[in-house]
Amino acid sequence: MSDRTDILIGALSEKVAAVTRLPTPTTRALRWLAFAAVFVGALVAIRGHRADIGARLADSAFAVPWAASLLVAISAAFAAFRMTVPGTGRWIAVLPLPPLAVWLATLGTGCVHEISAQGLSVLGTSFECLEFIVMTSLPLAAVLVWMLRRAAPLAPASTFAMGALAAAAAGSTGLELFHHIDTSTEALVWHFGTVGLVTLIGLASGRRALSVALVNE
Amino acid sequence: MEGDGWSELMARAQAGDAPAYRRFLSESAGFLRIIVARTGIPHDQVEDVVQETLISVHAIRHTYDPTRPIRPWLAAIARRRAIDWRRRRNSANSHEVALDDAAHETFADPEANRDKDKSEAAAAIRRWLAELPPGQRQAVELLKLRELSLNEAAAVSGQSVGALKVATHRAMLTLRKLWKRDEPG
Repeated sequence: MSDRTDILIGALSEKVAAVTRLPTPTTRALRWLAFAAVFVGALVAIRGHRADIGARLADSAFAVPWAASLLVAISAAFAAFRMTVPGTGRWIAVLPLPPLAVWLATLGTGCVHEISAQGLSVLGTSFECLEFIVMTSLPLAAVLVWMLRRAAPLAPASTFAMGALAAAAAGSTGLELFHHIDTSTEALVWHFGTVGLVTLIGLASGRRALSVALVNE
Repeated sequence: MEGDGWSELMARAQAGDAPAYRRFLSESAGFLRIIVARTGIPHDQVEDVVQETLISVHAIRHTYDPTRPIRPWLAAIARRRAIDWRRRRNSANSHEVALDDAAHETFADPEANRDKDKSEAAAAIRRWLAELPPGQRQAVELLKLRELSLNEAAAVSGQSVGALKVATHRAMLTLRKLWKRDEPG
């Protein structure tokens, strides 16, 4: 061992202070999900859920993609926190893929049926959806960044993309409870599309958002 | 001692046990050296990357869960520091231009021959650094010469980030005064 390394080890160990061990990624993910549930739940309560929500949830064309978006939010949150533990395999990044595939497949199938029956007129514009998902994602992502930065995000871009996916999917799940969009085409474009957009923004900004001293330059 | 023993040592280090921490860092340095060397870092740079890894391990030691294997945790940090080293080197290389032999020829214009004073300038900088107060000299060495981040330098020196910033600022002012003092003419 070089003298310099030995001196460094001496300097580091000499003044080592007791540290509070970080809770497990599962615990941290559950805390964030609890915050997200309260936050999104409060927004839905303020807006008032749609009157036919019981009937819509009984309809598999609504319930399956809705449940899938909820599972995307949950699995992406677990994956994001797990990715901040050094040594975690890359396999963790595929965790949200199954619910994501179900979400996309159910909306995509509905979209094809609607367009073949009614043509492109079925596609309306709903900037309100985009605004709600983005505005919901921002505070959720901000809290997530604060929590992730306390750990060791060695791969900041993919970690924050995963977190942004969790935040946007949580926003979309809440939005479905009060917003009257009844076509898969519109849900695919305005809900799924916005979630994809937010995830890409997370991927692009992750290095800056999660740059942690001593790990990243 | 194998990896499981290191987990226990690290758990004690997290509780503030300095001897356990010293033993853990000393024993794991060899493992880190192997991991860093496997990433293809040039032989003469491996020790620097190992040192940066040790500083990172120190900074994020609160993230280690003693119920999990420690070697993948250590290896991931070492690989990350190796990537950082490559990124820094590539960034530095992008600002450098290879010179051919003709570039070293002197020119009739005296202003073009200032390069001959390089060795004298280096000697002057070394002399000025030696004249700095110890705190200021350490700040310049860690932040400007070894290019550590503020937090890394704080971990090594035991000074706070704020104190390092102040020391660096004062060092620059002192160096400027020394330069003016020794400026010819």
